[in-house]
Amino acid sequence: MDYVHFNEVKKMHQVKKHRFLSAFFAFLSGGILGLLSEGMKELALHVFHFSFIDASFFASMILVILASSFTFLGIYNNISQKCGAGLFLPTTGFANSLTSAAMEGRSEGIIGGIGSMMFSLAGSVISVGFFMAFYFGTIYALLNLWGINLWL
Amino acid sequence: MAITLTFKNVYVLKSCAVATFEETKGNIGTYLDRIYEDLYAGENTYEDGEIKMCQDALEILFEKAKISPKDIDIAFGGDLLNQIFVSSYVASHYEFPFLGVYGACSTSMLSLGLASIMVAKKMAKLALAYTSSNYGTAERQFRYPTSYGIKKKEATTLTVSGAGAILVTSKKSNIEVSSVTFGKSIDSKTQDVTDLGSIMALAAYDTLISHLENRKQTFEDYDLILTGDLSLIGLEVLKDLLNRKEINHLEDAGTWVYDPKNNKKFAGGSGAACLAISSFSKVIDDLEKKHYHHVLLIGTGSLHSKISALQGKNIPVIAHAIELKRGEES
Repeated sequence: MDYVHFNEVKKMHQVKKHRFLSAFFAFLSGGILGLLSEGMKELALHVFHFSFIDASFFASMILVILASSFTFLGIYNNISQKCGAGLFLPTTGFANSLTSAAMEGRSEGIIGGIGSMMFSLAGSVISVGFFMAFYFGTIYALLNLWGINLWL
Repeated sequence: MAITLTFKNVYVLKSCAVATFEETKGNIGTYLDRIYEDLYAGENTYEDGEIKMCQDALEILFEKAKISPKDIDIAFGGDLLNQIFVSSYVASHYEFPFLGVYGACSTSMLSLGLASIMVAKKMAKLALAYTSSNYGTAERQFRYPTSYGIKKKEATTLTVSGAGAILVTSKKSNIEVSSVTFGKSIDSKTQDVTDLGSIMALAAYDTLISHLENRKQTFEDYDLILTGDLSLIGLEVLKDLLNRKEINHLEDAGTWVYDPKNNKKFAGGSGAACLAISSFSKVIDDLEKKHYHHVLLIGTGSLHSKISALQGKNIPVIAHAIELKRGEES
């Protein structure tokens, strides 16, 4: 088998990526999402009189609920195909990965299906979260012991 | 080198293909025996939907051929699920002996080839071959959950949802299975599972060349050479490998099902049912109507699994070819 020739031919027919277009749509959708959550935050701050931290939680909660509902309705993957990283990187991508995996596991029951499969895609994000919290928490505690107080 | 076995007494009795509504928008829509609204086919899960489609395909086939399942001497079946569950489950409803086979997207040709051998060697008078696939179950088996919003690449092929079944017999009929070429499993030396079409072209090329060499034929002997699921990109790669840009009767079932002109879905269709529903509906019908006289079907498959892909193993690819001929009489 002539792999050199094959690889040449294969390379010739590779679909060209529209990097600029993808980046543009990601920028646009990510920006709109940011604007939306900023609006939510302002709303929570000034209308509902939440504290600053609560208002941030409120905004990301709304995004998560929206992304999950869109996933449930089957619209999310059509939109995300266009938006790419604009929807994938923010918390919406995380919400979608949880919801889609849970929906997929529905047929296997609550424990073996929804419960264990929910984190099949998002699991690594959570694991990294745990480990980072542990390591940085340890460093923070040790520094505190030595009398160095880092107020983060 | 691939092996070619020639037959003189193997005929196609009847064939049947069912699919969902999405598959009817292409070239084969009018040839299908039953059309379902969606992937669930009226059931609760994707898996049940695939089972329903597969079972219906068999029932329709038995009705069309006017036979009872008890008349079948042996059956070969396969699909894309773990442990080829759908085919085995469907077979459990019947009395015939069942052999489950797996050839990824080449399963339809693999099972038909094996069924033909059983008939040719007079070990069976009537043999059944069937296969099915479903977008929902295959995505889950090989990729991500169906509603996961990851951006798909343009070279991606989408699994066709449907099922196909065919009966081969030693009794003379209009369509003859003249030969089968079983290809070898070829190391594609790549790990990219998002562009399977172009690496399967390698296997299709090897099997096609071996078949023509073993049978001492040329491209012009055929009215149609139909590959399984090479996609738009893979087909072009194959044409380039063959050094025949101008060859018009070399077509791909993936682009038949998801026609790039009016129902473009990334690079085309794939999956075990892709070639099955194309060949067991349109090709067989057109052979019957004498639109075609001599057809070569090449089922191509990529034999990777989700785990092998994650472990970074090279993807083995395979292709099996079946030669169909329109008989002289009537």
